[in-house]
Amino acid sequence: MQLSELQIDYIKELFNVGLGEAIVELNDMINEEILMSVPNFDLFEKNAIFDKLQIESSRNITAVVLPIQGGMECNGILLFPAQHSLNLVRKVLKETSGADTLTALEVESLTEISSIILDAIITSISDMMHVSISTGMPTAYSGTFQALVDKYYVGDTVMSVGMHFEIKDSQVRGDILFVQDILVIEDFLEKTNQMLSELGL
Amino acid sequence: MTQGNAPPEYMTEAINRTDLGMIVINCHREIVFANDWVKEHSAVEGAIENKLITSVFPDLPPRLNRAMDKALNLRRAAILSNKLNPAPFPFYRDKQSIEERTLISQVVKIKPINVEKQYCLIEIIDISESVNRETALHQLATEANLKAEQIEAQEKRIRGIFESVKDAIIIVDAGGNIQMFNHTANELLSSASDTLNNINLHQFLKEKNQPLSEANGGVNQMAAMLPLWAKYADSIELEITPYGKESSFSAELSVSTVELSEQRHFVVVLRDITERKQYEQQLETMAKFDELTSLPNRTLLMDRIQSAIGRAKRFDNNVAIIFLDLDRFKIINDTLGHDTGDKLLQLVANRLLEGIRELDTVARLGGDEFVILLENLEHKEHAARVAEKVVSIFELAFDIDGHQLFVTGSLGIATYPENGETAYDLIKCADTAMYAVKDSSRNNYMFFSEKMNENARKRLELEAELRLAVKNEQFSIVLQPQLSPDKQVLHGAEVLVRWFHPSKGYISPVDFIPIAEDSGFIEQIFDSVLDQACQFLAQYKHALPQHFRMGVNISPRQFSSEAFTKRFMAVLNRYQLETRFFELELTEGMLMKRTDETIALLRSLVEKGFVISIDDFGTGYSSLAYLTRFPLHTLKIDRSFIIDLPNDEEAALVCKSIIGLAKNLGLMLIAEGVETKQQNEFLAAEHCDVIQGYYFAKPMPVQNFVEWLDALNADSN
Repeated sequence: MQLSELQIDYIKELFNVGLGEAIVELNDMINEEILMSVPNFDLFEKNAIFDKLQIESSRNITAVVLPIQGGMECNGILLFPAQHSLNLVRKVLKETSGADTLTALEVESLTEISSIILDAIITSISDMMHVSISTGMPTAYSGTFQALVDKYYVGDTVMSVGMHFEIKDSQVRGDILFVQDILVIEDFLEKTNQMLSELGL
Repeated sequence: MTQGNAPPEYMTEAINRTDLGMIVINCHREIVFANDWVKEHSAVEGAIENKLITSVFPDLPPRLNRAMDKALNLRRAAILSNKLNPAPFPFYRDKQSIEERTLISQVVKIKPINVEKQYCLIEIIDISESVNRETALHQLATEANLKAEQIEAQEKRIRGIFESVKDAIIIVDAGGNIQMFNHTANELLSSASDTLNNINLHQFLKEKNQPLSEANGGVNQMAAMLPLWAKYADSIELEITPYGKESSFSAELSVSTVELSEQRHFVVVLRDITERKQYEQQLETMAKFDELTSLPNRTLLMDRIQSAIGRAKRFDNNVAIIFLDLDRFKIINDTLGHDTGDKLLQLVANRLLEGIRELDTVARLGGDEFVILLENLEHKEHAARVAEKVVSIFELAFDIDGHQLFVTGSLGIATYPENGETAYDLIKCADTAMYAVKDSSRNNYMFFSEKMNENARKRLELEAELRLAVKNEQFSIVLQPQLSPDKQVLHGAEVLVRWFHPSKGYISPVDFIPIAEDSGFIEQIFDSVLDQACQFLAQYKHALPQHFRMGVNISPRQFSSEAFTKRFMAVLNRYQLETRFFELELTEGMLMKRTDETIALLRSLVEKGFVISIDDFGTGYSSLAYLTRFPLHTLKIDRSFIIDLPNDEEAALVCKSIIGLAKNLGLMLIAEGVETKQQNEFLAAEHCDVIQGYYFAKPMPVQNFVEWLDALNADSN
């Protein structure tokens, strides 16, 4: 599936606006400036996921999974390489020392932060698609990338939004992934084209 | 909730008994249900149902408000984690907590409920215990981290010290296998890093150049040696061969025991002492060898003589000591400088070494004194042959910076067992024999004899008597007149000293003046002489010719003293005498020494009115060029040139030349030691100015001189 540059730019801008709101919310909560880069957007087949994200299937990762219902049935997943999730949480919580894995309470915070970000993206999508999208309780996942894919990726097409956070001189990378039926994606792109033509582009 | 839909009682009971707080709000944000947990843990008075949640709990955080909005409007679930939102609701454990305002730590979950209408369930989970547990764990972890950091820092510090120590430190196990080592150890024993690990120490060590090799049971030996070294030896000196190298270096090793992981280990501290050894060797050389000539010095010589005596005793043969002193070396040092003197000594040392057997020793005692030790001699005469050879090495000139220098040596020989049994005795005897040569002919050698000791004893005796003589004023003066060759004009008289010893009678100045010079009595003797001369002048100056002058001999020792002029003037003042009465007689040697200072001193004396003459002219080493630089008045030609006059042609020629020289330089000439009419006639013919000697008069005591003077005056009248 080929996307035009214009489509990609539009979607990126859309997500960027949505993420902007998430950042405002996070900044309010933690009283620390978080910078976020303009997200990357990509679409690819599920079996290309390891190559596309350049994460080995056996690599341990931390992820937050958000069940999505309504207009778009899928799992929204925000995943971090293990050390990055640790960096993100410790930076946000201003904790300097501790164990080299996340504690239960820290996992909860990671879940909250991730769900705020995921929620912002979903809001952008639902706004554009004029559909109502509801979410269930976010849960944290920790294990190999392969096991995550096996457990939560029910569709065959991956919509990926790559992000970089920057908190207090520290770079944190995260990837938002939605895995769903190609039909849903096509619907999403259809809506994108409509919006573009309404804007006269 | 309407009555019709009321849930069964057990369900209400279950919801009320759960440990969760549960609040349900409607789309107007009114509380439609709150379970007992909420009521029990809130400090709100009265019923809360049907009230706006924001009025029951007015201080809810914005995050919670937004989440509730999203749940009601967008049907989004949310979680408020404890770390980011520690206590969104004002819930307390008990009454005491309310007073203390200690809130329950919470996790809040917001869940949309979509039945006929939109509701929102708020779950409040008390996680105070988890928070406490995690806080405690975190504190433990922090403390552990801190401790780990401290340990790491400490270890880094210790490692730093370990690595920066300039000694090699090696830790080996009980068998001598290397377990740990510092940088210095690695550098010292191996070039590449890590190659020392697990190598057995014995591979590096050699004792007396023998490796503690495998064949010698190196490993076993190592295991046996280490505890012994640790227990009994402060330090061990060994040769070390670095890993994979052929050459070795000297090292000092100290070993101590240490228990590591409940096993016995050894700490081996190793220091490269190559430099120290070299330094020690250098010190030893310095202590035993003369720096200038590289010959053995006195210390080493004494050792060698003593060992030679030991061997001679066992094998029943002879040892000879030749003591060599260069003749007039002092003059060379004084006139040509110490550099030249030093070079001459080096050349002499070389010639001596060429002239002796390898078995024998040439040593320098210091100054211009050398000693040759001859060992294993069959006959004493062999020493004489060596001495002759030594005398002959001086026949050729020494070339120093283009100058051809001739020098001779005086040698004294002493032999074992005849002259002594110790090194000290032999050296003393050889020295005495050498002095005997100096006193007689110089440039020769002599064997020591007891008679020489007798002479040395006499000399000491004389010195003691001289001390008494000064104290008891046993010195008197005699005067020898100085006249024109025709006896018509009396120029003056030389003042000479006599020592009248109470038991030995008159003692010749030839015998006691050198001793007086050496011992320092010469100044007191001179004072006495000057005093008597002044007395004579004060008493008889009316009877003397107007230009009458008294010649007084000045010793080199006095002349260098700054107080000389002051002391002299003080005596003259006491007798109210003028300086013009005095002619100061100096020798050539005195003028050649420290020329600039001497010229200054002479000028100041001449300015005061003294007259300066050179005594014994022709016997010293004067450079004629110097004569013009000194403010001289008179030359006194030495008696040795007069004695062979007038028949000896050479003597006549020398005398004529000296007289000519004096005339040309405008100096007055006095001939000493004139004894015959013929000598006087010869000198008169050569226009010599003044004659002194037996021919006219012997030196006379003052009273006799006065009588002689009267007779002379009567004659001329």
